[in-house]
Amino acid sequence: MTAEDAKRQAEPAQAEERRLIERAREGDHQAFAALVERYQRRVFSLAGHLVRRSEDVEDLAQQVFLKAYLALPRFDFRAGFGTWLYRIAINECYDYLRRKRTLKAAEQSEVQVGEWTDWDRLVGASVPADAQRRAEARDLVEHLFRRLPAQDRILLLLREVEGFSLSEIARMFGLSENVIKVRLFRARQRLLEAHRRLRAAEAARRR
Amino acid sequence: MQCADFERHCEDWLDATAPPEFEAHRRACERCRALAEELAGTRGLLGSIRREPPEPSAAFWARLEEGLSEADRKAEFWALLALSARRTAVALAALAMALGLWVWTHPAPPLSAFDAPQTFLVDDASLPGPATYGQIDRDQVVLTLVARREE
Repeated sequence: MTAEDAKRQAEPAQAEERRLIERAREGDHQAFAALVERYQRRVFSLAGHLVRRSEDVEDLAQQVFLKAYLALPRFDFRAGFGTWLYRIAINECYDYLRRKRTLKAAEQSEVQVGEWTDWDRLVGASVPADAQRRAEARDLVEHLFRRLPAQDRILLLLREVEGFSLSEIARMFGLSENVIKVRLFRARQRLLEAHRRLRAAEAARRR
Repeated sequence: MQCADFERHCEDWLDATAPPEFEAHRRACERCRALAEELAGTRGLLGSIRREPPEPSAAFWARLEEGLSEADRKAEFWALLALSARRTAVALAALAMALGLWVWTHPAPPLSAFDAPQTFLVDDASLPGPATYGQIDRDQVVLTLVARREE
């Protein structure tokens, strides 16, 4: 299928989405519900990878959609609705992470001295297949993410977990692709550095 | 390609879209080769945490709709407030214009000779008693002239 064909195929869906947006602007909640249904999976996915508790995931998703509804009069159709919605989602995620910056002692998981910090054993060149390793990988990532700035976390999630392309991420942030590439590179370096420090701390603890 | 350029193309390399000179540098430079492998490791680790998103609860849409209705009510309140403020401003502007028009079409009558004090210079010779040059009230002059007439 050529790019032209893909574009032609997408046109009816885009026209339908435009009609839903215009009706939602006039207060049609059912039209907005249809938009929520289209995008809630991606919003829940982003929130779910940032936040542990399912109640917090729903709260975050609620905030995103409510803010989108309030901002609908200002949506000018220049960017795609999905890109625009994700920009709102990213801002809500930033706010959420800023509020949670100081973790309560009870919620903070202890650093377990053990094999799960062994990056190579968890990952290597392939994605770990079994549930046990996936859980260990998630614990490790969560631990490392807490030591990263919010922007690094969100960029890495959008790129590696949510699977957005560089151009899509650039549009969400309103930045050029080159800037996003540099920021992702630095985010990965900080992730690696956080892992090195973790391993050094554990090596020191074992001695 | 230099090491600094290498860093700029790492993301492209992860997507297998880096320029050919990137691969040449990667093979030639030990530091950059090790760096590229480490970065590939971050992709592997982060990809492994991908999971199905949680499903929204049964109450999710009901709660959201409550929020939307509340937002609509607030928007309506502010719109009414803005409308009444606009109407009040228009009414006040119309009143000010009407008042201005009335004042313009009804000028005040001219002042009579004794309505306002007038000042003018007088020669000290016409004044009884010691006097100095200067401006004095007309009323004072009139009193002086009346006093002289009566003399």
